[in-house]
Amino acid sequence: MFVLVLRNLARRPLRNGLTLAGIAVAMAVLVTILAFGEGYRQALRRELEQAGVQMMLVPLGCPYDAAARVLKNNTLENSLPANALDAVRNDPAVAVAAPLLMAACPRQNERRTDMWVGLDRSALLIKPWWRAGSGRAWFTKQDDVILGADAAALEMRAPGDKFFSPERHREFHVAGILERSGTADDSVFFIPLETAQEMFGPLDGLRAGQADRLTAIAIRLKEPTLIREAAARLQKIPGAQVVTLTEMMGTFLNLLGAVRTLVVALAAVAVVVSALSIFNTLLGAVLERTNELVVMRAVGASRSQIFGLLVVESLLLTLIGNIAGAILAFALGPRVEALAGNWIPFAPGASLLALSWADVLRCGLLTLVVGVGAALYPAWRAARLQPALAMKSE
Amino acid sequence: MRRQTVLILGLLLMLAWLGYRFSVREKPSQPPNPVTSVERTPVCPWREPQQDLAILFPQATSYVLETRILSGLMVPLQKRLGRAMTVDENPLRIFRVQAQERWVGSVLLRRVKGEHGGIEIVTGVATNGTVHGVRIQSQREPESVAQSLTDSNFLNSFVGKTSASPLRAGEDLPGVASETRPTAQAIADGVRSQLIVLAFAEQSREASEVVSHRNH
Repeated sequence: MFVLVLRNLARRPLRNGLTLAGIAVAMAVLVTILAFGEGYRQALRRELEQAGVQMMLVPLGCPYDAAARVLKNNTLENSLPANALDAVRNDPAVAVAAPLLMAACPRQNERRTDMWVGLDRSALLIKPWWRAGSGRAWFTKQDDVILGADAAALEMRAPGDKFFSPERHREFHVAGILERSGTADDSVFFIPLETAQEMFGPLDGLRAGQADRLTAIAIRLKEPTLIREAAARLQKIPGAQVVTLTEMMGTFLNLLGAVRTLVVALAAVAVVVSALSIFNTLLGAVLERTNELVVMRAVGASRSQIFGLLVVESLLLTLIGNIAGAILAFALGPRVEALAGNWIPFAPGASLLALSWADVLRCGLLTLVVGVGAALYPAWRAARLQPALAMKSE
Repeated sequence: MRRQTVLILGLLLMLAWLGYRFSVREKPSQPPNPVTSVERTPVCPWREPQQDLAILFPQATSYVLETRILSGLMVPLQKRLGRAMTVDENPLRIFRVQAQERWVGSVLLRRVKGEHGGIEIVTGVATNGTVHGVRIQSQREPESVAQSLTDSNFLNSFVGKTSASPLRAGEDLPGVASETRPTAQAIADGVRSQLIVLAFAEQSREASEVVSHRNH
């Protein structure tokens, strides 16, 4: 029967080829969407885990935008109130409160922006990946700077080299260069918090007494289950707001979920179109091969054998289409990721595509079921052909 | 009949093999790359092509990016340079500058190590291989040093120099203060190596080339 099926498929290469292409595209779209959703979730979780914090205290404004900016080491325009750090550190649920001052220095003529981050030792507790690739891992002097791996490569700096801030006219010495972390920190110039407050506090036109300027406080709790009550208490600090990173992750995933539903609907349309295409191909084959089928019936083929012939044809078409679709997904997935990554705000730095054989199998099974479903009517129609028709056609 | 079956089975096997290859290629995740001393410097971008062209080649109407792979010349080039080639040198990106379809010169980019940070140099080279003009597109030196490095007297002193010129700051390139000298020499070395690499690329047929177009 298998040989007969292969011969039938090879008889109409163009029509079967187009049907195959339809199935392959539907399969590729399904696999890529599943891989993209899973990859985004994994990458986001990894990035949040690498951040090593459960909460952020940020100045009033859009909390998610603020927290995302902090995660991505983008600057915040507003500052936290002066008493915020003490209030956070005095909270019974807080294990670590790491004050941060982030400042972006755009260099218009050079079409680039320097990112400076001031931090104190508590930051080491929330950045578990913080390790010096060369030199020292922490500052010993106020004019020490520690560079992210990319920043060091761009500025061609090694430990012991001088480093200068043209915007603030301040000279530093490179104390160390961090190992690559795969996060936004790779492009940052890290300096002691006091130095950052000196550089970016008063000079930015702040009120007197705001030399202890902070743009965010990263918080790790003694016990993650205390997150709700700690957030409720910290929320009361005037001029500040709390963003829990799980909330932020949930918001991102909800946004992604809405987009995913839309794309899954489009993929469903692709699957339906490929099912109709199989239906059309097989029905056409039945009509074309009526004579052949009735002769088979006349020489002893049973109804179930004729039915099976058409179903196996459909199965084979779907199987080949699935294999081609899986190859398409693996081949084009990274390009789709590169395109999609540009459109997603605050997309995680890691790969957004988690292609897996489990997804391929799941989608393959779905399209096989759809393929067989689409073959049922043409197969039933073929099985109903009467052997007597053979005499009539002769 | 049997031939067709074998063909289709062969096709199926090939597709399965391709799928396996693609999946295997995606799997290995890159571990963090530790920094040893200075990381491999990224390729120097051309940040302000229009602005630079207006100064270096005012008559320019367009430019074409030509990429030369100089791996075949690596041994003699490294001997001449006295060091290993950088990412800005191999592959060498040459921006061929045109004025009304006529080639008027080339632009080369290079990042060098200054006293206080990376310095990005844009060098205009005339068709005869001499320096047509030099611009500093990015630097982070203290103001006094930055001023003298971007001063037209210093930059114009490169004009007319060739790959054979010694380019010593303070001698061939006058008007360099002592505090500026190390950084000025780094720039001079950068320009000189650009001229050497370009001269090798132009003279040798061994250098394969890839061309892509970009107009402005």
